[in-house]
Amino acid sequence: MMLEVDGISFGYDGPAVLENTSFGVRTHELAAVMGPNGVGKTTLLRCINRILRPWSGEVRIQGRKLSGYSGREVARRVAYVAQRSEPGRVTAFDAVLLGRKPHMSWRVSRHDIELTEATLRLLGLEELSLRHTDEMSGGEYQKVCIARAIVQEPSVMLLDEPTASLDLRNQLEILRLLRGIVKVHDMCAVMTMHDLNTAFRYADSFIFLKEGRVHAAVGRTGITADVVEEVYGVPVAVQWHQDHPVVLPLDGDRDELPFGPG
Amino acid sequence: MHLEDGKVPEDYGRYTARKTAVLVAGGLLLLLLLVLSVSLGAVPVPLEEVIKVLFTGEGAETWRTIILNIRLPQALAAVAAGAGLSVSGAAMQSILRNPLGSPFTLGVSNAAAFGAAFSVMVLSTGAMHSTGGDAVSITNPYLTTLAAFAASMVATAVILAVSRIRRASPEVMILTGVAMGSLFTAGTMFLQYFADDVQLAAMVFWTFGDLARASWRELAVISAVTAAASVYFLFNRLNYNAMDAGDETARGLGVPVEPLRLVGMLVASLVTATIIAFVGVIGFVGLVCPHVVRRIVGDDHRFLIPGSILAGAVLLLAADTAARLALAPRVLPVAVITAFIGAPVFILLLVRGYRR
Repeated sequence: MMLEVDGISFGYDGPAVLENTSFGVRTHELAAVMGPNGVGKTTLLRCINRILRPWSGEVRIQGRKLSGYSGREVARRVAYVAQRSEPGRVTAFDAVLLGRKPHMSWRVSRHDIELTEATLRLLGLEELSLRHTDEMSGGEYQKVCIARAIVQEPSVMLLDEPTASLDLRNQLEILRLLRGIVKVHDMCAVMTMHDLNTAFRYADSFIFLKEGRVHAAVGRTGITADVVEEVYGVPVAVQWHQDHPVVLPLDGDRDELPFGPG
Repeated sequence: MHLEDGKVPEDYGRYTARKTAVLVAGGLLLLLLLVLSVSLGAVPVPLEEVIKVLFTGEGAETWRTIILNIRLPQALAAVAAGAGLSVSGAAMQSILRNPLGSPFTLGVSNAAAFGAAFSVMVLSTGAMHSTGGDAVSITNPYLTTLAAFAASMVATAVILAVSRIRRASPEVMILTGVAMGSLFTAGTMFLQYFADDVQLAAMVFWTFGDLARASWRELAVISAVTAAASVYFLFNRLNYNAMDAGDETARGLGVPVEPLRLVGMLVASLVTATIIAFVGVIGFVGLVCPHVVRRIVGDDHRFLIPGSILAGAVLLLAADTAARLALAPRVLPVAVITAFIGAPVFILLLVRGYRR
């Protein structure tokens, strides 16, 4: 296991949001965390990289506990692509270079710059390297954020809704890229996602959260209509198209709708 | 990682070289301006004499006296105060994620003005002189300085305390600052309402920033505080870059966002309070200089922070020189000239948009 989340519990000021949450992600694996709004998907990511301190439980990367590490030491092992990152009057190159921050001492080294250049090239961003990030489209900027996470050279990459607010083409491009990166590097990635079908298309494993607990942690073959119905509370059918499950929400009884006929 | 074939891209090298060139040019401009400022005044000192005295320490006694006792301390005070106010503003804009962020937004200057008014009124440090150009003066400048500084620190302490309780969010800091500013302004008005003519004049006189108040001793304090703060801000330049990308992103990069916000605010307020306490309220520099520099070198703090230090020094030195010359032998309040020079330049830059 590259990443082990072992019995994490956490709450903000009130009751627990996450209760005894455990799962594992293997090297080269892209895992999707799914569940309804407010179930604690983002909170879970923040507990993994210790932006939030869990009440109890432990996160291990390659068997090493993260709880003894400083923020900077965690950042050398875990990269986080937040749902919202602010573009600014900074070039793409400098925005990506920032990902070297946890590895830098006092100044930017030649190695940092070389790594940034190679990453921009890997993601096909070299043409944009001197463009300011506030002049970029959402898709371009999201790639810059992912590039920043890559130069961090993490063992685990966490992404919060990496495809939210992107068009179909950009969604696919980002996820294909992510999948490719995870496959060729010694790392794993965990992303939260709302769009079930997109997640089923690209992720290797699926962690369904319900009421602060892991309801099911399954591979692609474990996806059934029952699991989705239990987690989201809506009737669905799961069809298989080639090797990929596709979820179709079923139209419930019309009489249940407040604006139904009559 | 399969990323071993990276190289330093030429265009990025040129891009950073251009920014470095801008900083070097700024440094040269400051040096030139410093020599000019020492040379110009009610009694013009020939340029070659200035250079001789500044670089060899020798020269005619009259020139030496004018340069070393009057012109040079004032010019260096302008450099140190301008640099300190500007670099504090640059850091605060990033810390507070707000283009209007500066220690002034947080009520530091209102508090200082209150402190000065309090010392004039309650500690009786204001007095009338019947001779000389300045009819009113502060009889005990040290006490007034101390009172102004103390009041600024009270304002800062309140904001820090509130921020500690509320997780140091920029909104809380700004709103608390604005509230503290209003409170101290009301306090000053209260004192002014009950002040007699002389006290009122002394209070108003104090709020006009005047760099001539700084002699070598004051200059040493201002310079030391400004230098220490500049080193602190420069040390954190990459942290500020990370915070510009959003708090979440910064935390993900291992940047301790809340502590940086609190300490940065404390350092910026400390510098500003020190400068204001010694030379009076000079408001425009901290707001505008960082924005001018942003327009030229962008938001990267690796260049923005040194750029702001230089720009603040240049603007305040130019304004002070102009203030001494415009209606010579009368000296205008430097804060007036700062805004007269700074505002049009700033608006012009806003209209022109960013340099590409």
